Amino acid sequence: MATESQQITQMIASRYGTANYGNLQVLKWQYYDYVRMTPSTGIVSQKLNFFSIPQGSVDPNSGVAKTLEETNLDRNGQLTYDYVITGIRTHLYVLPKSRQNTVGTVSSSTTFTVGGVSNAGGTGTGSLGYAGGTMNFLEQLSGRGNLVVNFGQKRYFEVNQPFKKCPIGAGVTIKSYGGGTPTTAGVNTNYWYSQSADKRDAYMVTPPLFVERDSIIDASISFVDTDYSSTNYTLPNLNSVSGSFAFVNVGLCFDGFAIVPTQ
Amino acid sequence: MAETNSQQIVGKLQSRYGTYARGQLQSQRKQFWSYIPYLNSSNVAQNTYTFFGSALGDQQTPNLQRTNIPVQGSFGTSAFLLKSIQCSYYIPSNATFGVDYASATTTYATDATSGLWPDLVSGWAQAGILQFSVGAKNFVTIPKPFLYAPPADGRSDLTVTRLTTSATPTYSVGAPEAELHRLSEEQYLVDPELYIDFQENFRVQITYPAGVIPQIGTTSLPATQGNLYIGVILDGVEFRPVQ
Repeated sequence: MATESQQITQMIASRYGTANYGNLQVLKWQYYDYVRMTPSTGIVSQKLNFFSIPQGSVDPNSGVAKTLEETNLDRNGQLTYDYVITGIRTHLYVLPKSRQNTVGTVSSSTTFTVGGVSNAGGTGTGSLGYAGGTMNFLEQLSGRGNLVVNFGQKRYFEVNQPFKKCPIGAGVTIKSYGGGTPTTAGVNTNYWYSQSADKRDAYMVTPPLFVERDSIIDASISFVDTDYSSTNYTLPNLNSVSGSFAFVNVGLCFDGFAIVPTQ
Repeated sequence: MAETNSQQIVGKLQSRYGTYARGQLQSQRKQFWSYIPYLNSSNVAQNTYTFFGSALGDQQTPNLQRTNIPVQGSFGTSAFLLKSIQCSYYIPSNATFGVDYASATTTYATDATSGLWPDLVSGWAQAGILQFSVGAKNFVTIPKPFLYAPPADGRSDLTVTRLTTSATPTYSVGAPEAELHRLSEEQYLVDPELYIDFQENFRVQITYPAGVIPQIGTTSLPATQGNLYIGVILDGVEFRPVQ
């Protein structure tokens, strides 16, 4: 709800402004926010906050300023436009190779993305897919967590296991996955994790939720079960160097319609 | 959109002497596409790719494989109702889609650097922002556009099997193969649709503001012999004057 000063500003805007708030237009739109899953310790944050840090501000976990690739939030905790939410997606994904961790030369490893471990055990350098590796870790993590979204003081969404219940519903189709760096003869096993890439699996918000642009968003994914510990929630290393874990981002995306003023 | 006096005068001349019937329109389903090289002439990836920035016949887009847009950044004498956006790519005909096991330099250990697999699962397809603007106003923003707005064109499959050479051949399914989504129901629908008027200027860009994503596949995706082309397809209904 607009304050008195906001109402005055809107009146001035309607008369002299560059946007016409009396003439609105509906656009398909999505608000999205990606945060780094872990700080430099590699331990998954117990609470990941979304839509709290706008473009240009630094993500505390990654230590890097957010760009339009991470979020299209312009204001801290507030949407730019009046918005109708019709769907919710989460995205749990390993960053592209060139944006990966430089510790342990992960970002330049020629075997990044492949698995490659024999029955005898041991990790292939730079591999994500060995048993007990990054891909297995993400699969286990996707069975945990609670998504909570508040607008103002009121709770509107509670979703258990959001990475499964609210999948991204997009991605590449992987027909086969193999290769690797087998260091010993024998059977080599690789794992690959991905959320459902089927759009039909997306979490639909029915009835849709209308959110005013000045509403304060408080959205988070928390891992609150008793098993949360640094041991259980540390990303595995990709090679023998300490801290050589893969960078993983977690995204929260609201699908819907933005109500924008005409210009 | 209001016409200027000169446009009205031209319109009158056209209605009397012109080659098409001004004011009478026909509509048809239409796809406009624009493909540009992922690597520049120095074989380096960019952080901004502008689509529909050159018209059919221009130096950058000399043939119909690259684009069918009649005018740079505009639908020319047609208007367009945008219903869907698709992001796609193609590779040179002499490149190998998956791992090239026949290549002496490609071994079982290098599927993360050869072929298109690593680029799709850990490269340019996993990042980026698509923005569609008309005039100065942004109407569409899609994060990770190759995932959220896939080709959805029923593209073909390439399935691989591999046998090791030995006295007892061993069957392996270890050849990696990935593709962008092909199902039509995965299309990114522009709903409600966007209407772009005659002669109106628009801009489509895919950018990587968080950093350039170099092409990973090098062994069997020969940048020196061809290039990886990324593209944007605008699908909808064209309105054009009756001739």
